[in-house]
Amino acid sequence: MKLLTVAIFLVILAVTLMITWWAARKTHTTSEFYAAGGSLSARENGFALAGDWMSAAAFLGFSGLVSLYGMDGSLYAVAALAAFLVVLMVVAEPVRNAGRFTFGDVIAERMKRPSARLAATIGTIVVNIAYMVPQMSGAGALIKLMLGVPYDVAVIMVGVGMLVYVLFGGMIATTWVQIVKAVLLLVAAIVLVSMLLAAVHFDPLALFASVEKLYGAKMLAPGGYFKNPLDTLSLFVSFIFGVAGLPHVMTRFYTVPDSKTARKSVLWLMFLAGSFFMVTTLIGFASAIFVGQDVIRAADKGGNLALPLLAQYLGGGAGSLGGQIFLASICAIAFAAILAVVAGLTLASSGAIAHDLYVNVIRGGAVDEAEQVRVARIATLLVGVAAVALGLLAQGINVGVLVILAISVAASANFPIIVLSIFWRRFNTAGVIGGMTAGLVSSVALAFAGPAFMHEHALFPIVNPAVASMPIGFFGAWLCTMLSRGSATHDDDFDAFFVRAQTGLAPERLQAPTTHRNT
Amino acid sequence: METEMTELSRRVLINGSAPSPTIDTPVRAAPRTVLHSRSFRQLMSAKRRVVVPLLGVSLAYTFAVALLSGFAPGLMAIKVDGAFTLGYLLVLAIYGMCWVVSVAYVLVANRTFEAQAAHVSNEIDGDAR
Repeated sequence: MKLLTVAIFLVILAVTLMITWWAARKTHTTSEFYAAGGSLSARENGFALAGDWMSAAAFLGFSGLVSLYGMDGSLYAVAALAAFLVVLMVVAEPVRNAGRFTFGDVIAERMKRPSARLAATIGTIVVNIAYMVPQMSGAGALIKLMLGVPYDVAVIMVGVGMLVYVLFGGMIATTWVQIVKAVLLLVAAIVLVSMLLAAVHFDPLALFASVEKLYGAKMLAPGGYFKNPLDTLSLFVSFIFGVAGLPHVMTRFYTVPDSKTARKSVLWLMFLAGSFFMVTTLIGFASAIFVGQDVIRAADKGGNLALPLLAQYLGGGAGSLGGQIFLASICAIAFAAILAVVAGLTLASSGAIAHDLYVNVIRGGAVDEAEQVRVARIATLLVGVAAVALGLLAQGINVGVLVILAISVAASANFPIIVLSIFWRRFNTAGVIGGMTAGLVSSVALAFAGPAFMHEHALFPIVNPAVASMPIGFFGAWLCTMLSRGSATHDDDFDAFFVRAQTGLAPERLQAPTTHRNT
Repeated sequence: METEMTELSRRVLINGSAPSPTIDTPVRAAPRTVLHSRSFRQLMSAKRRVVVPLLGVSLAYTFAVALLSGFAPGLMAIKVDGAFTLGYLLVLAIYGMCWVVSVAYVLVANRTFEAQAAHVSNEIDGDAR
């Protein structure tokens, strides 16, 4: 079993390293490093976007939740998909029209103030780190389980892998590693779903009937996982507005040549990730039926191993050759998924540190191209080392609260400032800082006061704080805007930004505001 | 510096929806003039006509399902076909809605919005001549 898993690991690793070698030869400029030179097709970017979104946490987590708690798990998955309607119709186009590499670019283009860019940079780094640490610790636990290597070694392995991809191959390598992983995952899902449907004579309703018979009607109704009636609403608020505030998702829209391609890539995601999320319900039910909730719980309290265990069962069961091949493949794909997702997060974070913080805030943009690429690589190294260190510290700690934190900060701090920057003329730099502070502080405070961290002693009853913290973020942005005055060129800056964001007109076609640009 | 120049001209070529008379000296317009131009206002009203109903209806429906799940779990547990519940039917409908709405949006946006954005760009060139 171990040998087989190692072999599949090595094959995936070899393929991704070859991709990196190939990508490295095409990565020279900052635009190539951060945004693949804006040269990806809709299908390439769509697969990569879907890959980003079908993280190990998502596909192991959603199917696990369904297997143990029923419909609440299915609600999780569908909320994660519906989120892309907001991305598609509200943020994708203005973000790609107004920025170059990062979320900070868009805010800076609108506000023309380094402090506004700094606020966006902080939002980016907090969200990415909160997103990355659970992935690292998940990878550590998974590899330890599969190969028997110690947790520390496993986390360092993941760190080295992602650093090699990003350092040498930049966005091109990150994208193609993500595409390879998305294809592997989708093939695995097709095989699994065909086999589990064959087991019930291609009647999905039979799965619903069996689940009801074995575990009761509560599996087919909401309320299995969420205890507070507002929990589901708050989950939906976090996902639906949070995804539009995820910096590594925004970055994907800079990798395509125009807005047409950007929209089409979201369409690919809708169908690829959508079909996948939909079948996590079938996979979850099948694992509850065939593997059994007790076995799933015994393997992992949170149910995260339901899908691998189902694969083992469908392959022929534990000990059989087929079962071993299936289990090993799924675990290797999960590992590849983690590597690909952390690579994307590392790249987005290095953009925030090198491009936003160093090049634009500290040096005021006066950095030549070669140095920018060098700084980007140094920042990548720093982010990678920090991610590994935090991953090591996270051992044995329940990092579930960080997952909630990542999406809540995105919904409560990043989303208000991006949406107000795009549409609200009066919005100003003080508003950006106020919105970021209010959203960030309230998300962190409420997430740590909530059930995910304090369990039964929770001071705040709802797991995902976004239902409260997002309005607080918007309120902070509004209040600080109203209490302060815009700059002398405020209206001109908004006009220029708005026209550019809505039409995609090149900045060279619009007259620059009279004062100097200092972003 | 040289790389920056090529980067600039590349972005002119890619972002400018209509070919500029010359790449080196693109026709410039004051943002405010563009903002109040007929073609730009048409683009914005087309966007509003498409995005507001599509996004409004789909978000309203999605959040309605979330509220029903939280406050009316009994209603969601009603059997529709065998063990299949109303809750699952509504969730399945969210998937269907996401697909229909996103296809509709992309079709309209890639045709209408793009053409209208090109119109805005042409008008800048036209005004200059």
